[in-house]
Amino acid sequence: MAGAKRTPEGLDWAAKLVLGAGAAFAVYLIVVPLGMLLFTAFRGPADALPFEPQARWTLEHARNFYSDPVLYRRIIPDTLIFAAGTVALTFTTAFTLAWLVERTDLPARETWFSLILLPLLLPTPVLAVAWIFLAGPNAGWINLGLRGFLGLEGQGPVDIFSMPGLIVCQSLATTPFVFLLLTATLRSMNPSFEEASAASGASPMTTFRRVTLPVLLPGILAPLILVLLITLEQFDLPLMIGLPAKIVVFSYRILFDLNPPDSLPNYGGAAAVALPFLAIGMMLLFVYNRLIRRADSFVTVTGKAYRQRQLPLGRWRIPALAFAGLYVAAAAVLPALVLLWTSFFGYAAPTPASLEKASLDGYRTLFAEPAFWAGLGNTFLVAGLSALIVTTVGAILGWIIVRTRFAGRHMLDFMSFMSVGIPSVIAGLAVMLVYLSLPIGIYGTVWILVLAYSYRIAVTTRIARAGLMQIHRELEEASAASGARWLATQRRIVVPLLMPALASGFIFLFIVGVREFTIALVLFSQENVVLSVVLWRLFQNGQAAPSAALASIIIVLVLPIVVLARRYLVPRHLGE
Amino acid sequence: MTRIGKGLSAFLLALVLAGTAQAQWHTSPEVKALYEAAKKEGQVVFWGTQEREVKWVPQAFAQMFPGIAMKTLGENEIATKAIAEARAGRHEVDVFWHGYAGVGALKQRELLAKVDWSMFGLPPGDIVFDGHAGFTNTIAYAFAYNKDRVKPADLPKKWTDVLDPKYKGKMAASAFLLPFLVGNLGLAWGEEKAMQFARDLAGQTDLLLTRAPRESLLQSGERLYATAEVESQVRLWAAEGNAVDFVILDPAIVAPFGVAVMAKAPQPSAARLLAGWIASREGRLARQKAVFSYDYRPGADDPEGRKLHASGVQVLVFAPEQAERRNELARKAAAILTQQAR
Repeated sequence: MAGAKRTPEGLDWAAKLVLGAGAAFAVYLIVVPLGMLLFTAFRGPADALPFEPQARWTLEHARNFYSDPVLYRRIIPDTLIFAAGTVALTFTTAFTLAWLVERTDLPARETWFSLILLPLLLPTPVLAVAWIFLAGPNAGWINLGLRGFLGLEGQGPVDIFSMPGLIVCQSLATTPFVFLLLTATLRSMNPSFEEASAASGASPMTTFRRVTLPVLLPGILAPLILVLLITLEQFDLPLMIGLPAKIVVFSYRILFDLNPPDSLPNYGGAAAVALPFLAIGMMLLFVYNRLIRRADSFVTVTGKAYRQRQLPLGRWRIPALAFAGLYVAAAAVLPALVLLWTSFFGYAAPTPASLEKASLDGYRTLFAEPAFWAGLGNTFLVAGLSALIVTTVGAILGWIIVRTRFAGRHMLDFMSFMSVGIPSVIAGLAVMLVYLSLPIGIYGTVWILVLAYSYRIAVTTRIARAGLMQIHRELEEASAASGARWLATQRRIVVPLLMPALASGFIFLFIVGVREFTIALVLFSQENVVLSVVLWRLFQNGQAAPSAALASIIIVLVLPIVVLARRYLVPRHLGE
Repeated sequence: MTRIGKGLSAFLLALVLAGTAQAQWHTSPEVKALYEAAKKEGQVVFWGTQEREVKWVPQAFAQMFPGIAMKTLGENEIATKAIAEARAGRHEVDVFWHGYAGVGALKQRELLAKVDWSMFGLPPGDIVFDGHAGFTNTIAYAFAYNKDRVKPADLPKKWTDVLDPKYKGKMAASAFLLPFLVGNLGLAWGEEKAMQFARDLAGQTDLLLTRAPRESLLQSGERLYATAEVESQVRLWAAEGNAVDFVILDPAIVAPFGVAVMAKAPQPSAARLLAGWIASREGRLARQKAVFSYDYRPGADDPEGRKLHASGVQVLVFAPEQAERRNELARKAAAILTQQAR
């Protein structure tokens, strides 16, 4: 029975309706941007938009890019070093933090959880500027302090404009995402295996290596693969911090193609550059599926209740707090201080002489901006609703992939995974074109943003799949044997057990929805303005104080929501 | 009176009359009728390339023509949006403001209406694209600096001066604008000289090529200079309280912008009225006041323009037919500046 999967005959009509609708909706959400990416990459020439009559099928974009020797001499090596370094540092940091928060008696765990997520709240360019202020080699605050303290002259000693600087900044920005996914996995894990291992005399390290890690494999691999894909297609930090260091990654080509100063964007060129991400995604998915094919090995949640075990840190408490504190300081507290300072003092240096320049003008300018007030409501509506849609659809897809023999489940898995490789601007363009053509009337409204934001199904599908693999089928089978219908079983058994994973996914997507600005810019109208667009425009227009004021306000507004979501959505104990 | 004296008087009288006609265009019967029709339409939709370039327009326009509501949109992708929407049969925008290459892209697709710009006082030289657009302003590439930490004597005079070792490690540049400056220089200097300039910039000056806001780097002192900035943007930074200023180096690279009415503007009368006002002398003066935008074309009736030409620098005005070549040079420059190519 443990190896049996559901056949369509084993599902009632309600199940088929829900699963069918979920799958169809997922396909609808993904196929539009995915199709646009593939379509655009092979349409040219560059001065015709891909959907125009004068555009034709062409290999010109792919040929221009893939025949360029610079791709092999500089771009691929730089990108690989950047990605490998970032993934390694991110994963090590995120896993350690997730372990400390979920599986140990680290003091104030809920506070740490929220603080660790803080970098996710802000658009990456804003974070990048904050880190440049802190670690710029000439006038960075950290360097000014270190030079003064150590009596050094000249530049540095810290230089953010370097490959190590870029890797550290990217890791700081990406760690919260991996952390969020790993906490869901660690929270769901039944500690009885570890207890049995310890009772058999294995050391903590042996238990970790031979029991914990293998059981966690799906939950670890999913964020590892996702963070690799996300890092490869990263845009903002490599351009703001890597480019001055002459580090050249794929995304630079996308920027140049999409931002000509006074002619049409070259969507075809940008799409051609994004194609490798799809290929890499396919490869990684294949590897992932091979590694986790023995699904029952990962089951930890069965019919027996269990209580999460908090490992006592003992003498490791201080180093653990120091580690968490160091990450939070570098990734969250210092950038937040820079933002707060800038909101009152603009770009003035943090010296006593600057204090007399304190002003509330940044906040006054912001509050006088009608778009700010319009954006407040729109932002929470769009972010919340899209996160809910994607979490629900991802959960449904995850169930189909793990629990059924549906012939198309691998295609669903593949399609959902590919969504992470689609650049936001291509997704935005795709949605714009579709809803201009369809007589639905949502173009220019907030509803188009809700749909446009909802294509990132990869995250929730992955974590729902990993979460379901930890839950034994016997629970659902016992429920069915007791006469419960499929919907009741899902509602009363599966969803509560899956809640840590779903809640993490929801929180992540909500935060991403709050800070997403690329899609919102492409689909912008005065009716659907959101805070990220207001922030981006203030930032680009050189209005430092109002943009920093808005960034500070976003943190103050969203952080409590994260805390509340975690408190009320994520159960403390599973299986009870 | 001598013949020369009579001729001069006639010329001066013609100038005055022309100036008066220009100044009084908004009181002409045609414009009054247009205004009445525009008021009946009630609103107008205006798109431009940046938020700061459009948000001043509603209030300024209402001072001369009150009673017409305005919706604005300022972002880089307006050309794509306008084309995509028109293709889908959706016509939301009335008036479109963009660089000449963007205006040209829409004219090429027959999306613009022909307008009688002379009724708004525009001289023939300001009517472009065969009557489909009116000239509004230019931008000029500039060399910005932190004015608290840099003495005027330390500033370069020519673009090639920035290769001087005294600027090494002290300059930032927009990853986006610098390649286009070099592309424009390539039109003036030839490709070989321009690409060598790019190589020298990339290899010798320790240039901080970035997408970060350069005013933050200047203000904080992380870098003292920012090359290839747009002078109106630097003026705005200064107006925001940043300690920055700029010089325009030789040759001065100038790019013109224009305004157009969409062929299927939903509010055609309001569209023509707004576009005409934007391109008119009054509209340009309002633009100068709001976003420090000037006319640097040779012979322009603009104090900043006259100052630039009097300074002795060679002024090169970009023409739309040069767009393809300029973009090609800019792409090569970008590859060199990021050291993807030599």
